[in-house]
Order: sequence, then structure tokens, then C-alpha cells
Amino acid sequence: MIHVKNLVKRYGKLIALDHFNLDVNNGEIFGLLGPNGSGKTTAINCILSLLTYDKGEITLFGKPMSPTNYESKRKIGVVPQNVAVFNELTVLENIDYFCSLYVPDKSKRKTLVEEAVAFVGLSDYRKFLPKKLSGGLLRRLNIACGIAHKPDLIFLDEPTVAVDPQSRNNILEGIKALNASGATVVYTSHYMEEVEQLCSRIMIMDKGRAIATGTKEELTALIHTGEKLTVEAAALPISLLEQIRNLPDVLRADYIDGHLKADCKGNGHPVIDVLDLLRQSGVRFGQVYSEPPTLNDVFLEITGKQLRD
Amino acid sequence: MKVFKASLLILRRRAAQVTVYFVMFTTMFVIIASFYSEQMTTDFSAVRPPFTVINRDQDTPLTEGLLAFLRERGAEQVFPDEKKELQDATFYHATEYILIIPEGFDEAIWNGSSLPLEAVSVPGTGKSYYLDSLVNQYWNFVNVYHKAAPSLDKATVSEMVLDALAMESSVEIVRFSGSQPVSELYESYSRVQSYILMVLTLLCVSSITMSFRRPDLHMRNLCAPLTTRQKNLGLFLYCALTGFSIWVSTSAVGFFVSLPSLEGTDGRLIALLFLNSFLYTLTALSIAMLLNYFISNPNTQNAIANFLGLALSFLGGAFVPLEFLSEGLRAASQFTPVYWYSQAVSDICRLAVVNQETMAPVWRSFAMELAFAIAILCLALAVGKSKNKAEKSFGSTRTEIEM
Repeated sequence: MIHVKNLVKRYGKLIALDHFNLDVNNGEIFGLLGPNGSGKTTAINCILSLLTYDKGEITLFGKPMSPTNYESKRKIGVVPQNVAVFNELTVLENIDYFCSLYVPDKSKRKTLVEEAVAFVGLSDYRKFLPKKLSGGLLRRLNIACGIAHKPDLIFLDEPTVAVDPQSRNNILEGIKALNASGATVVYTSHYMEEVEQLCSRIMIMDKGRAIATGTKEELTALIHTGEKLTVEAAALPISLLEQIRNLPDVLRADYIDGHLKADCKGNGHPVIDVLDLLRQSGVRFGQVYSEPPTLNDVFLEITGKQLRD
Repeated sequence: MKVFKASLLILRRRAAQVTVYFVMFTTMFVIIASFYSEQMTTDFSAVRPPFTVINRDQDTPLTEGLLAFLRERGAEQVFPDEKKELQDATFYHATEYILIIPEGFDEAIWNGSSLPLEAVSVPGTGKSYYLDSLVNQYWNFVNVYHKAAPSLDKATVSEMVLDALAMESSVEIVRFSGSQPVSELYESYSRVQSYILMVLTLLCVSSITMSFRRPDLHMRNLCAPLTTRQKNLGLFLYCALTGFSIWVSTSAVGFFVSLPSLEGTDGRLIALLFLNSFLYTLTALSIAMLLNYFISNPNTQNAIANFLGLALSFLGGAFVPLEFLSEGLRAASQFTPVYWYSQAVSDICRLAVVNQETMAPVWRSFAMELAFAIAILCLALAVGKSKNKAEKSFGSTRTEIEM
């Protein structure tokens, strides 16, 4: 559905996209994950022909994308990062205006607008002006304006920024529903939890480059870090910590604030071994946690920095 | 049509701002017009001021004649010859003028010697001056007739003086002469209309372009299958409709409020004034399209609309006749469209005869207004193009030329 090859975009001396490649398949929720300034929005703007680019090819629905490719534009829905609605129009009028850009038929549009209003849960706010809506409701209106015409491909550019947890959950559930109804979704965010929860495939970006692409499992399999083990222990002798560090499946181990924290190797599961060592040494321990590796670990291991740096 | 419809909806929400201006201008004009009609002199009636004559001389034909003369032009009030009574009469305005004829006055004036008349009047009133002048007029005539024909007796002289003073000139008030074929009220409104047109057009056009030029909305529209042509057509239709509505409404207000003063006015002159304001509306629309690139929020919108409207109208002679401006300002004003608009108003309102020759300066002003409209529109398109180029070179948006 989307094919981007060797895309290069420069802002003066700054390279915003550096030979960027992307392939999005029909029916998936594709996540673009990366810290602020990594090139996510630039990539989307180039794909949508909102930005000129220096080099590369962009194909949408099998056709080269250009500002005048209205046939492709008709099948696309865009939810921009900033809420882009008319302050002078009501909720219903705003959705109707943006829907009318895609659907000229008035009666068909009326149904679509009503469905969009219900979909984002703004039925009680039909005649409200945007200034009367809270941040979360505004975001929902922004989404409704982008999806009312039932597009085949939806770009959602950080739609949950500055949104309260409840509205965020509503938005994420809505995106899942859109995908379930057949839409392909491209979702950008710097919240790894959202991307993990939502996306079938993920691309991690940094400095305008795609540093890894795949499902969550595929991405975590790329790195050496496996599960993370945390054990509550009252006291831990240095010699015992050394023994744990020397276990074959343990990459790193530290004792911090009464907690033993151990990073395990890719496929290793040294929980039993660690607990055996503690028991044999007479160390009393409390709760034991084990977490699978996150996308932040992937990002950390590949780039040497935290995703939120 | 979607851009056009959305524009109308946006204007509806911002209508309060435009309505305030429109109502304010209309009310001001109605008030001015009502004062104007009150001040217009349409009739004349002679004033008959109250007077009193205290004759301490004898009743002679000359004094009798004076009394008869004064009674024709004033209302006699009789009071006893007592100081207190007379003081009260003037204090309470029971009489405006008390003439005291001293003893021996008649003989003195007949013999050519002078004996002053004593007059008490309410100070500073026009009526007392009027009565004073009547008295002087009578006695001067007596003096002239007596000197010219010393053989005539007092009765004959008095009779002749009264006959002479009875002659009157008839006064006819003409509403307008051939030099002012359109009423001053309508001419004044036509001048000020340039300011109203400019402010309302700027407000209405920039209200919409301000919204559509907002970067986030601009980009969202670019994402949609909305061609530049469709968008520009929608905005053009909106500008045309609002410009036309503003022109019709402001012209209608001026015309209907001035209607009583336009009785008998040549309809062609009114039509020419309408055409003049229409051409100026086109100029105002061009200016609005140019300025929309520099108006980004409602505060700048109001400031620019008012400043530009006032400055242009002042320079062009809409508020103050150009004759009162300095040489430099007058020279500068020729480079403003309002100058040519005002010039056309002046020329049309003084067109006693409509023919090819008299119409020449009017056509020239019209041509200048049209030239300004086209030149400013071209400039607006050029600014739009260069702004888009600048955006493209910075890499913010990929757009085509738009309004």
C-alpha cells in the first residue's frame, strides 16, 4: 500500500530523512516509533506530498504520490499532530466540511458524519464550538475530521499528545476499531507503550533513518537483552552478586535499593538459577518480577540512548 | 462550493464584528442626516419683536408715522412711563426694546439740530438691533426727505417716508442651484462610503483568508483531494458575494437615508455614483486580497482595517476636502485610489449637464480606480506566489499558487 524507497529530505544542512525506506502492507497498523526530531512527521509529510524532498520514490496504492494525485488523496485520511479544525465552525460543521472534501454526495455525507460523531463519542457535543471542548475532546474531533470519509489508509501523527489517560484509551480503542473495519493505519508516536499495544509492525526511527523494522517480537529478538529480572532482597553480599553475574544466561546484574536487577540474555531464563543461588546463600528474598524486553531496550541497545532522551 | 459554504459559515460566526461596524456607520449617518434636514432652510417668515415707545414729546405726524412704521414690523407693548415698570418689562423680556422720545425731539430734528433718542434694550439680542435699525432707518429717511424738500410739511414727509419704507423685496429660497445637482448630504455620504467599504471589505475577506491560511488547516486542506482551482474558486466566489453585499447594503443605506434630499436629482448621476462606489469596492477587494498575506490574527485584522481605512480615506479627501491638505499631502493623495474615488464623487455631484465633454473627468477617475484594482490584484497574486516559493524553499509545504 505504501512504498518508500531511498527518501532523502534536507532542511539546509540538516538531514531530516536519510535514505529512508518504508513498506506498509494492506490492513496492518504500522507504527513509526522514535524520539522527537527523529523524522517521523517529516516522513509522513513527504509521503502525503506536503513537503518536497530531495531524492527518493514514494508510491501509494501502486501509483507515484504527488500533490495532484487526487485519486490517491481521496482514499487517505489524515489526523495531524496539531488539532487542525476551524474555530468558527461547530463540531458537526467541522466534520462535515472535511468530509465534504472527499464525499460530494450530501445524503451519503450526512450518514458518514453522524457515524464519525458517534465513533469518537462526540454525540453530545454536536453544536459545540471547538473552544468549548476539552483537550481530549478536541483530539477526538481532530480524529473524526480525518476519518469521517472512511478512508482506506489513515495517517495518525501522534494523536494522543497531551491527552488524559481515559481519552487516550478511547482513542487507541477507536484506532483498533478502524483497523478492524478494514483501514490500514500508519501511527506515529514517541510513546512506546502505545505502539507496542497497538501496532502489528513497528519501525524504530532515529536521526532520519529506519534503524529496525518488524513485529515487536522480531524487534526484541534483534537484541541481546532478554527478560529483566527483579528480586526484592534485604541484603546481598558482593560475592553472591558476582556469582549471579557469572551465571551463563545473565548479561548484567546490580543490587540497587534492596533490589537485585538482572538483565538476561536473549533466550535465557535464569530465574530458577538465581533464586537457587539466593536460597543456598541464605539470603531472604521477597517479590520476584520478570519483564520481557521492551522497545526502549531495543532502541537503547541499537543507539546507545534511551528512547525518551 | 465546499470552501465557499465553509467561508459563509465562518463569516456567520464572525458576523457580530462586521455588524457592529455596519450598525455604527449607519447610525452615525442617520443622526447626521437628521441634523442636516433640521438645519435646512425651507421657509421664511418675518419676526415681529415686541417693542415699547415712550413718547415724552408731543404727538406729531412724524412721531405718529414712526409708531405706525414700528407697529407694522413689531408688536407694540404698552407700559407706563415709570422706571421700575420699564426695568421689569425688559428683565422679563416682555419687551425687547424701549424707545424713549425726549421732549422737543420732533422740533429739533425738523430744525436740523441733533437731540439723541434714548433706547433701552435687552443687550446682545438680534431683535433689539433690528428695532434699533428700524428707528434709525425711519429718522434718516425723514431727514433726507426734509432736506431734499424743505417746503413739505411734517404730515406729507411722514407719509412719503412710510410709502418708501413699505417697499419690500420678495425672497425665494431655491433648494439647489445648477452648480450642485446632487444634494450635499448624499455627496458627503458618498465620500465617507469609501471608508465604510474599505473597512467592511477588509474585515469580511480577511476573516476567511485568516482561517484558511492557518498553517495547520492549510496543510490539512492540502492533504484532501481539493484542487487549488476549487479552493480559489470558492474563495473568489465568497469575496465576490461579500464585496457585492457590502456595496449594495452601504449604497442602499446612503440612498434611502438621503432620499428626501435627492428629490428631482438626475437619476443618471445617482447611477454614476453607484458605479463609482462599485469600482471602489473592487479596489477594496484587491487590497483585502493583498493584505490577507499579512493578517494572521484578529488583533492585526482590526488594527490594519481601521488604520488603512482611515489613512487612505483621509489622504483621499473622504473626510476633509483636499483643499485643506498641504501641497505634499495633496500630491501624495493622487497615488491612492480614494483620491480618484473622491474626485469622481466631486465631479459627478457637480455635473449640471451630462454629456461626453463633462463626463470626461469622471471616466478618467473611473479608469484610475479600475487600474488601481487591477494593479493591486496583480501585486496580491505576485506576493502569494513569492510567499509560496519561500515556503517551498524552506521546505514547509508543497503548494500551488493560491489566492
